[in-house]
Amino acid sequence: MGAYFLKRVLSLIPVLLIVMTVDFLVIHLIPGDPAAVMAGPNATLSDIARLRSLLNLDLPIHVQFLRWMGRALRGDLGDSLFLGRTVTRAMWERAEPTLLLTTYGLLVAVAIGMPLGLAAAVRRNTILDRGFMLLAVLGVSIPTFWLGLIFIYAFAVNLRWLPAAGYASLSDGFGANLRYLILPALALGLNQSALVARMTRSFMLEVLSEDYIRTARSKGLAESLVILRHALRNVLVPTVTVVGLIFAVLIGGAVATEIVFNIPGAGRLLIDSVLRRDYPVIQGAVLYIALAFVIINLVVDMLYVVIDPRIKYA
Amino acid sequence: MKPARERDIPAKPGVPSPRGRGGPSLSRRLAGQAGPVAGLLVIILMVLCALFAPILTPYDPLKLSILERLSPPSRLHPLGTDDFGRDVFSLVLYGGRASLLVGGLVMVFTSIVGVVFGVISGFYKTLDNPLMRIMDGLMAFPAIVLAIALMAALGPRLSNVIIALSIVYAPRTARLIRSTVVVIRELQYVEAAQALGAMGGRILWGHVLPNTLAPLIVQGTFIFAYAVLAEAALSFLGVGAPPYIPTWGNILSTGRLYIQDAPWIIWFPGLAIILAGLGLNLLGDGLRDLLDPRLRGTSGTS
Repeated sequence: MGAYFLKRVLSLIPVLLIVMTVDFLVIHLIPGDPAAVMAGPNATLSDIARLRSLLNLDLPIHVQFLRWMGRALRGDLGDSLFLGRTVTRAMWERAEPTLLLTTYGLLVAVAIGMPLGLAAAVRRNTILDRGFMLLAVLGVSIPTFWLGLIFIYAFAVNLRWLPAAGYASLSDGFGANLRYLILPALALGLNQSALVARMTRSFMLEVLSEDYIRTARSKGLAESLVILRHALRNVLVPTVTVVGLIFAVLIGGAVATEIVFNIPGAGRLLIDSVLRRDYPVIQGAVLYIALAFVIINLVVDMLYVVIDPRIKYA
Repeated sequence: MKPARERDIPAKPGVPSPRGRGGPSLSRRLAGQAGPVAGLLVIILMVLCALFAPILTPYDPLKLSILERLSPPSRLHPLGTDDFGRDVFSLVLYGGRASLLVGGLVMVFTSIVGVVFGVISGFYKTLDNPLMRIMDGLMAFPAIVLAIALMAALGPRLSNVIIALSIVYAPRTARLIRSTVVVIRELQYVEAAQALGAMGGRILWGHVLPNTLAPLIVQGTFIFAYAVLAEAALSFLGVGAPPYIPTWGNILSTGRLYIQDAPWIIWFPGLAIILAGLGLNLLGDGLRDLLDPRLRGTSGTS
């Protein structure tokens, strides 16, 4: 198992190298002179020249790349052009809302999706099953940001139950934090609960067709016990992978959700930076988000091996 | 999953037959399914609405009319007007043009790029590893985040949205095609064809490409759906199509500012996005069950 873990971690090196290369190239994909684009339409020639040398854009591209890489590996992603602080610090300040939002969103997705998926599998081919699965297809088609707008309209503007936008940090208390994040987390998670439901259903159907389920049934065990004691435990294992799969969508969805609900998270930092052409922050935010995604997937893969003793990896 | 459908699968599931034929025709098998047929009809209807937008609405979607600013739904403006007095119904119809154009072109481009890279990777072992590592690297970004980064570099234009989303989604198709090609390459009839002296090109056109068609169509339908959703998200965030082009995302992005006073602006662009996503997903699910039983259980989202 240790050897598998080591292999899995080592396999990340090429992926991360490519992630960093793509991220580095984002600045160089800018048509024309990147420094002039970054400096904006009102910049003087000397502004542009200063920016160019500040960002090393005057060096040959391979030198730029090696310098950028070397510094990035030490956690130094440069300075924001507007915020007066390092990119890493800016990201760090915006990490809490995004991490909490995605975590709550994940909980919503699993709490709603799993029971629906299990129920659909157990009542396979009934009206309930078809209804749930149609709902699930509908669910994946609803854009999270639109659902967020509808929630704001219904629960904040009309009913005035919850705040329409804004954020309270965990340090202001869990209740205050939750008050601001309930609607965003629901908007973010509901959409993904559809995917969780579909996957749980197909895992459950697979488990229900296994021999040990047939054995349990044929020895006269009540169907409810077959489900609870034999099927459920086995369906939980593959469901772990769902978490890794939907996490990517949750991180992506968090960007739009933060914009809709005016939450000062990493996603909003990314969008604000795009709008004011703060390229060091764009590069940094994209790199950190990709890194978070890669690490989550690694953890999920390892968890899978740990919780399922039947799987042996070379 | 659904035993009734399993009878449709030709002899051996998982092994593509040499020409991918046998059994009733695709259109006939498709006609027996309510979901995919409904999905197809929805998509056709939406495409028609987008094409015939000038006939369906008397208004120019770009015509400003300050006097009619933010007026609620009425007989003149069935879905109301936005902050510039533009007719929302017309905006939604014309918005469909941009959204469906982006979705359709991204589907075409990812299919072309995906097949080229997938086939090269599946056939040439020396190129397989580096190509697939690059695909892994691109897939290590959450899709919308990579799209935002690319749009930041390329600049807010509709053509750039198509380029960015094609780069984001092509690796998925490339991986899928590669895995299909690797299986086909080892099949006995391909070996037999090689033994008979068929050359690379002949094997490629005669045996490999026809068998990649089924997964390609299924994947393409899903990519169409992702691209429509992603385009809406990018426009909504202000990093997609420029604000003066009516797209569903752009309408929502204005509507957001007037949610209190003019909630009618946000309803229909959202419903249009959902309808397009629903139609494409239903069609994709149906096609997958019919064409490619091996993909069953995988889902239309990512």
